[in-house]
Amino acid sequence: MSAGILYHERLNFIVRGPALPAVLLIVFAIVYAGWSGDRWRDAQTASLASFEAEAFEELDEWRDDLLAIEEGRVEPSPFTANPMSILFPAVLPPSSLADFAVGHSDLHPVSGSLSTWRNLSTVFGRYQFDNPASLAASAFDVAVVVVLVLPVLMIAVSFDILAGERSRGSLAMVLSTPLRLPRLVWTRLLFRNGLLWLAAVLTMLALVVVNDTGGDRYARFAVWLAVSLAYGLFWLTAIAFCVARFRSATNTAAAMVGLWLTLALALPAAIATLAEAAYPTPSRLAFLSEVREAQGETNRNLAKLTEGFLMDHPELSVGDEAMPSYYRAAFLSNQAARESTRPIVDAYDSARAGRAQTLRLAQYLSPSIIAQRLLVASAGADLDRQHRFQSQARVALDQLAQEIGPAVVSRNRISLDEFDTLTPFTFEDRAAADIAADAFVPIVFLLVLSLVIGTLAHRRLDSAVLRE
Amino acid sequence: MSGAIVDKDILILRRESLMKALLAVVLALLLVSLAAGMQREQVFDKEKAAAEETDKAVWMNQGDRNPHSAAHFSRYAFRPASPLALIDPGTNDFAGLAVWMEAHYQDPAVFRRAEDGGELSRYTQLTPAFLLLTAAPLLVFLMMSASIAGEREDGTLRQLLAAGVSGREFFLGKLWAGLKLTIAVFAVAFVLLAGFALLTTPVATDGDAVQRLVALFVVFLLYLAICVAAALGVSALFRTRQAAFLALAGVWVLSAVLLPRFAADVATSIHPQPDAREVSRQLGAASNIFYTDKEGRQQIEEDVLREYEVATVEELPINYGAYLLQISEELSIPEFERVYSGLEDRYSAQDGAVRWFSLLTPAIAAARLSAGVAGTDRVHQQAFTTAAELHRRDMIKLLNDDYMFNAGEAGAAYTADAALWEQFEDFEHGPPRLAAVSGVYLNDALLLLAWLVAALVFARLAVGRAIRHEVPTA
Repeated sequence: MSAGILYHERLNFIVRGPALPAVLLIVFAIVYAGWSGDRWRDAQTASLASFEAEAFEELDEWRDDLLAIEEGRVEPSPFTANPMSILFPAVLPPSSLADFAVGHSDLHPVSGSLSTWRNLSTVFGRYQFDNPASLAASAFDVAVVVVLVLPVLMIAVSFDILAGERSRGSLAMVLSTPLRLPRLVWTRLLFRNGLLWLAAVLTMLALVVVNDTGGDRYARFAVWLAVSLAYGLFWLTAIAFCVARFRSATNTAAAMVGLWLTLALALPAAIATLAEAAYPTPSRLAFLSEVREAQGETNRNLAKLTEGFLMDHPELSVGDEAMPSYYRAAFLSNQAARESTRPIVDAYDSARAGRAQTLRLAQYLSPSIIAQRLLVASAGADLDRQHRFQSQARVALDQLAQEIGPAVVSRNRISLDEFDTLTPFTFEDRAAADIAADAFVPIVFLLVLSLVIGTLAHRRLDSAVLRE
Repeated sequence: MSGAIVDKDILILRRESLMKALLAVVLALLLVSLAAGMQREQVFDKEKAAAEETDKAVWMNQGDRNPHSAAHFSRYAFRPASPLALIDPGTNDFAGLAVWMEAHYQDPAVFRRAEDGGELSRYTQLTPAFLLLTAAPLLVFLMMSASIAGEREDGTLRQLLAAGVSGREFFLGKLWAGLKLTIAVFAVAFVLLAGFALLTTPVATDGDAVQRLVALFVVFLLYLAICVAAALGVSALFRTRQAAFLALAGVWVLSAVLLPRFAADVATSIHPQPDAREVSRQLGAASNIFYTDKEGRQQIEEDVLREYEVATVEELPINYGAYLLQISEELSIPEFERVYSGLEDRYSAQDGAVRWFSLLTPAIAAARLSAGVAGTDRVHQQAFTTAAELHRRDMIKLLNDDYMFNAGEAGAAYTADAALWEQFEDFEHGPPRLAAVSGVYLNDALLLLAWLVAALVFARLAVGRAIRHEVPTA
């Protein structure tokens, strides 16, 4: 019997119907989004690689200068191999699946200069040169295609699944045969959406292979695929329910579009707005004011602060008096700024944690939020990854200040051995297994939700025979 | 007769429970977005006022100091509140809200509020403008989908024509029914928005804010009128409600949701965003232009000695070091302008590429006009950063001049006190008046008008075609 349904579907859906345009549209959207994401990732990778290469080259030169001084080959000047000139690059490399989602990665800093000339407000340098209008529009990435476009196409190819029979009045006749209505609906739904999803999955797989840059790309893609399929299953059962619930194709379509508007746009926007209002981050301007107050205070009390610092480090002897005093002033004022802004940074982290917790709970109100969160996380473009980079860079800057601070304030150099113990920054990324573990419960939720909705749709379709 | 058509259509629409439910959802979301927008803007106003106060206090209390050292510390310029940001925040959250006016360097605006957004903030944002530009067209399309297709499906179009209704009357009746209902709902929503804006926006009391509100009303009205006319035309193309609805739903998803995002992405693919490190490098080079030009420095020395008719810099009646600091500032200015004008060219190229997509959807032109009229687009941001840079140049010159003319024998040890810091004027910049920048939006306004004309012509032709199909002799 299914073979008969499939024969008619082939005729009505593929030959005469919207299958080809829908499949072409989804393939085009994914290919374009993947191409655009790949270009963006390559540009970012190249820029970061050049930044690191330049910084390490300068560090090598700095080390050569120090070696020459220690070996007595050159007469040291106060500016040569000065510890204040040490700069370690801190970079957030794009993840191995970064071409699939831009997420937050085009807005936040992806590189920083770990130098004691910097404080928390300047460690990431000047990076705000993007066109704000382009940023505001957000990227058209593969995540957008999966979360927004695929459900729309699923609705477009499915909403009239019983419309032909109903408009011709032949449904009752069809149902008088051994064919069961649920079987008819499910077979048609699976056939139509299966084609769409097959095209989408094969295209995404092709992107994974073609744009492969190694790393944990395939593991991340496995999470991506699991989330996408669970999300697709939810929409399939939701469509089945609407088909079962509404008799006219127009009402079915209106209900589906309304559901899409609510789940994919309105609820995420409303939840995001409420979470941000409930957990406001401290003002960036207050942060700035704090930094400036601390710097102003340090400048006024430089002598006292220096004395205090040296008293805390009695092992130090005062070194080269020719070393400019503004080196010491800059170090101390940045350290003061770091200390005074720490409560604000902590408050930031606390507000972010509150929002994240809210979203972890609120995501269950809309499968689109689950899909958006997990897809962006598996592509390594989530907000959490950006914050972890910023947080790790801050810690690294603190460590550097602790290690070279005494030498700077006492106007000494550090030794070559001490320099060689300094560790360059490496971003500690989350393992794909961690991301998969975080995705497990939401995916199970989507599957259970789909099962419940699917069962309700099935029962309703089963009892619809009497109504027909 | 067209009046009867209008009354009948409105009656039918008022009976649609699904429509009422969707309308209620959108109006509820509008209220939520308005409340959130109000809260955001009020918080921002307070934060800005506090930051300005602290900035001034820190500046005034810095104690005795060399003026050039103070110029390195300098002050911040803060972006003024946008008149109607609570209705349409536009690009505000993605543009920096403070500029450091330090010596030797033209900084970009920093502290973008979007960086404080939550995990979903890049995915979607709930603002009144988003609802009016994205959700409202869906309501219009749902409302209008059966307008002609329903009459054709039920066979009532033939009856109407047989009763003597002319094609023109039928078209005008259907169009007016859609417009009347849309305008009624939109007017209620907009009066709500305007009332909140006028009550809560500090700058809303002057004529400019009122002009902006009226212009915003016209933009949204035009856009929704385009949606009504286009929906009428699409409805006329189909014989069944179902087919018309599906076509309109597709048009909505493409034109209001996907194309605006796709257009921006294509624009940044063709004209990529600037590499921040490269721009920083260029700005650094611009800042150092004086210090890297040995021959230029020699020439400057010769010129100043000739001007003051002395043989050595020690004989100069001014502090030569301070003189060079000011010269270095002035030499860097054209270089900074070159770098920022390169950035501006790139932004304009991106915006130009997006504008091409306005030929495919009116949503893009409407969104640009909405942000422009609300004072939250790139044009207003640039007016702020340009004003901040001009202020920086004046104030750094003030400090360098004081150092140059008053240092005397003290030389580099010279310090100034609060009397000089007092002369560093507060940065005061109001957003440009709408009338002053309206020329920038002419193309988008013309595009929107062209869309309206095209939609009306399309609707008239489609209705005429539907009538001919139903009654071949008509």
